[in-house]
Amino acid sequence: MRSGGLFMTVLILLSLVLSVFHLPEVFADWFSYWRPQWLLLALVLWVQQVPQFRGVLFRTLFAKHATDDGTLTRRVLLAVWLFGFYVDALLGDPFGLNGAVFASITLYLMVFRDRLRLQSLSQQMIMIFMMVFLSEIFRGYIHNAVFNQVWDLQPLTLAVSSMLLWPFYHWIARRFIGASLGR
Amino acid sequence: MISLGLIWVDGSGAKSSESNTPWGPGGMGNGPASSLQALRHAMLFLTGPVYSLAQSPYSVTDTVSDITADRQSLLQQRDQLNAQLLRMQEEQLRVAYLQAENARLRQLLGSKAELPSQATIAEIIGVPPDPQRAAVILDKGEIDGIAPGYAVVDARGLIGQVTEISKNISWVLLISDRNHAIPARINRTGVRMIVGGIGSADRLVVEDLPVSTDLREGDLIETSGLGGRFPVGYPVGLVSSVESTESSPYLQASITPSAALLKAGHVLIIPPPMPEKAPELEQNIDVNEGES
Repeated sequence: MRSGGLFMTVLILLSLVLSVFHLPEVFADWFSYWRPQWLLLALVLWVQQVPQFRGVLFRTLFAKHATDDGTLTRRVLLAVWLFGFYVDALLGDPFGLNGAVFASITLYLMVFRDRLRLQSLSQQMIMIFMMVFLSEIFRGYIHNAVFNQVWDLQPLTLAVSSMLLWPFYHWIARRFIGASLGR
Repeated sequence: MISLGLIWVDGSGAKSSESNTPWGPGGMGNGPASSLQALRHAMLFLTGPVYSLAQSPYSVTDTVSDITADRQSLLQQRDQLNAQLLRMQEEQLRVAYLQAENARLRQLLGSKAELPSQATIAEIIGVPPDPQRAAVILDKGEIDGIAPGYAVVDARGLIGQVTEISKNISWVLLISDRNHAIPARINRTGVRMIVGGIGSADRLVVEDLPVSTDLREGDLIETSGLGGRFPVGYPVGLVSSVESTESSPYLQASITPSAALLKAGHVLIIPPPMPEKAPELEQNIDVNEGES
């Protein structure tokens, strides 16, 4: 149980580092169009595992005195929203942008949790594609308004690369968290 | 329900940051420091370690190549640097003479002498992954005396300007960003113009220069010092093409930046020059400079 929390912490820290990592100049341009959305993938993994976390840290932060599922959901939403501020500072986005993306994805995942559990891997991949695509379109809209950026194929390429990475995350989750939680 | 509220708060948060974020040369320093900026300041401080970690593969490679460098090549490098230093020192001697002469002439003309600027050396520790954002992150911040609006140059020319700072890191908007514009002039003729970024690292464009202007390929474009942000005389780039179409009253000219915008590892941060003109005039120029 502890290892599940530790695994998620390491995964989130690694995602933070990977999301600002840049390749040497030769590959930089190509890679920046196909970089997977590490943080969103980690978030999806984390939210899907939320009800099963029973660790000390998780309990103190989220589940203490939580009387029902709704309270837990609200606390988790608030947490990911606040985490979004940090990511905003990290990526130089306008404040609130990543929080909105994270919170809406979390809400979707938590409300439809039971339905999502029944999905096959390919259905999950389509879900990841839609989520990253929509969030990138939202991000593109805000960037277009705030930073005067032009539209390009980024939402599509980022969604495809994130989608293609999901089976790997799926396998990792089963291998590490699944085992440690005794599913 | 609460989540809907959250997202609504979020939207307004994004909006208010939109109006308060000192992004682009125009708005910077004019607006009051808001609580959101204070929050960003604090958050930026916390992002430092993540950027250092992301940069660590490169620092490790650098260290390894430092350790494994052989004596012969180091000696060779030292000789080269010594020769370069000698040339620079000789140039420095002339600069001292020219500076003194410049100060004397300025005194004769009755205008104030320009103070020599104090440069800070900084290292680039990060590049935002978004291909549309032309920016870099430096390892120097408030504690090193950096403030938003400082110009950033490398050995060959202007790179950009500091837009956001925290205690230990600062964000630099590159001159190639779509939101960046530089008050510049042609070195040969002294004609003033505005050079804007278009989001490409190897091309800048000249904005709104009449077709009658004497501009040729190969002309050196340098900062004009107007606007009070960039010190005068730093190279921006060389004119790579000049075209005039019959349908437009303006020249279409593109400029190749002198500085290595993508390759630079170490840069210099230079404070803005002392204002010589009336402050309200400065502000007017600032606003004009902000549009791209």
